[in-house]
Amino acid sequence: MSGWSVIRLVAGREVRARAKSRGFLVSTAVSLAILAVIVVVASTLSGDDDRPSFDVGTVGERPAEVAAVAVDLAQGEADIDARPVGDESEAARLVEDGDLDAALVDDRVLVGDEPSDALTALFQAANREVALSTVLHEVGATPQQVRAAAPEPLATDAVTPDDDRDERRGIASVGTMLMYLQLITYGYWVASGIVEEKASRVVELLLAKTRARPLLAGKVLGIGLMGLAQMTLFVATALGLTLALGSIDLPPGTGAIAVGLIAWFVAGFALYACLFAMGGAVASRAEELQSTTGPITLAIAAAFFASFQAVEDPDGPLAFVTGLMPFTAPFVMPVRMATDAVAPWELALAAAILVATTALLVRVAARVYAGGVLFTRGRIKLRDALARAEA
Amino acid sequence: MLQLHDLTKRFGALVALDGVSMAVEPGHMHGFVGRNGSGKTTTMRIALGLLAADSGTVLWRGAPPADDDRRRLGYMPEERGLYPRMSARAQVTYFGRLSGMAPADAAAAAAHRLDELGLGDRADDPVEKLSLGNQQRAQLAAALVQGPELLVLDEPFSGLDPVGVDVLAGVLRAEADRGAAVVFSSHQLELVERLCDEVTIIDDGRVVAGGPIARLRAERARPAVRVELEGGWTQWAAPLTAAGVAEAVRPEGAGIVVELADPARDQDVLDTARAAGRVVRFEHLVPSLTDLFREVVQARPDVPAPKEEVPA
Repeated sequence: MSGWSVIRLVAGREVRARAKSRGFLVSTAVSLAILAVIVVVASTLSGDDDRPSFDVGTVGERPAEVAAVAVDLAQGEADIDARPVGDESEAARLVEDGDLDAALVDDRVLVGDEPSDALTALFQAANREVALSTVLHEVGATPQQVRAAAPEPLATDAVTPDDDRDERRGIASVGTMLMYLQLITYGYWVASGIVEEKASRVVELLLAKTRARPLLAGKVLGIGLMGLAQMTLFVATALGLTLALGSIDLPPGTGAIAVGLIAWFVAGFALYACLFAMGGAVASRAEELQSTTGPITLAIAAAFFASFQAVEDPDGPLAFVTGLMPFTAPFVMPVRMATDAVAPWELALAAAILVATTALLVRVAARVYAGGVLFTRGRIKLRDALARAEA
Repeated sequence: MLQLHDLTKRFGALVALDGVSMAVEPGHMHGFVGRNGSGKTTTMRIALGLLAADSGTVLWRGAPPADDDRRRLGYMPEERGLYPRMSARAQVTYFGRLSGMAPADAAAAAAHRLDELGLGDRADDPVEKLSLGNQQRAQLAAALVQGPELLVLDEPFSGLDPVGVDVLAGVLRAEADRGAAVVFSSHQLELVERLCDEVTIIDDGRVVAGGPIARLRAERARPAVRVELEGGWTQWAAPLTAAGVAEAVRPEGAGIVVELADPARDQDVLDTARAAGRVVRFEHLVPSLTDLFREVVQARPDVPAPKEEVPA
């Protein structure tokens, strides 16, 4: 049996054990619910700001025609809901009660206390268009000529610089927040999984069958896959729900941001999982994990904070440096990638540094693991664990 | 099968092993005895590759064990351990898979072993819900699942009730008969004597005696006779030491045990006894493993021998 099949076996056990645990299922469900609520609330709030909507009543045939044209003209700018009402007195009552924003009766517009200039202007334009097309019909103009007389409204073009960049930056910074939570949660799982095997002494049986390195690799891989699946689920849910609700426009490139985020999560997890593995291997009981993994959690928090400056100034020298450093790169690079602030060579270099650091840490972690997991009488010093390791 | 040669191991200032050698053969049961802290667990861990020796060699079939060899062993550590929340069946199957068995084979072997050990109907319960005795059975099933060539058990009998001892003894015997090399440590010397044909006695990290129990008896134990006179009179034996017939004389029960200076002089003892009174019992003593153990370990008289029937 090769090392790889041991890794697969161990990873498979991790995935099954976690997937069955109620804690995992509940926390996933709760996180998804929170995420959904956030997206829905954000969509509703931004839906209010974006476009005005009006309820309009019409009395008679021509006002209905004018209202229909106004709906067309308002396309993209305002939502107009037009419906016929019985007669003028009913229309007046509905406007007075505030059930309607305005009513069209013959050649008049009934409005309330605070008439909307935009709506009134729309009605005037619609009225002219209806009148014009009636005249054109009467003089025998072709349908093409009629259409030409009522051109598309002029398009508006904002001359503010690259608006999307800010939005993409926002999405990336939400993403790093998610990354922060996932790294801490799943990293801690690695540490607690190791200490669980240590405390239950099952690790001695495992190590009699196989070596420390595939055992550790399988554990990290299994837990990492769970973290990856959960992270992907969260990202997909957030993006899918936003698209489905339709009131927030995702900037182009959002998909690429999500993919980049997940890729950096994988790399960051591999790196930090090695540290967490050491934290687990030197503890003898779950109670000691707090102190042995505390510095790692702190390091992740620091790296997360380091990404804030990258959000502020993705092109600055600090963002450049922290983007290359292995412990901050997973947080900083997704932001820089989202804002197009990073050259391909920088990405390649950052990835290479991260992979090299991880490769080194895997060796150290495997040694600490091998030396630490059989030492069950209390906490062992990192140096002693290294010294006890077989090879 | 398994040969340990001149193993040494230090933990800081503590010398745990100081030149331990032993050999375990296929089809044999090998007892490994010694006081607490004498180096039994360390020796086993080194044999299994869990610890590295400072010097010395571990050979399986004449060569250092490769990774695949390690999967052909069954191990039961002194500190029992399984995944608490996993069912007995799932983990025994898992250890079968780690031993290189195909999924279906591992599942079938796990079911077979659990049934054999009487755990069949509790096999799907999480291990933490099982009684201690049943946890021990699950542990044994995990060690046995792939039909190991070498079975290493650290204090397998500790904590078992007499019925459990018999079941385990039967299972180990069957494994040895199948051709496995079985080595286990125990403080229960009478059990070791009953089950094993070979023994290694370790003290302070050194092997103080080792080999077939019968040979050790012949070699190591001083010849002795037990004599009992009518009325329980014992004063007659006192001059035997001075006369150079006995090394030592001690009362035991209603009679007296005479350790002979020379095996040929047993008849002199009998003559002396007959002169003193009516001899109701005269027998040659076959030294028990406990006697052997006392003799080799009590080089340091301050050290008490291990208790025989009380599990550690």
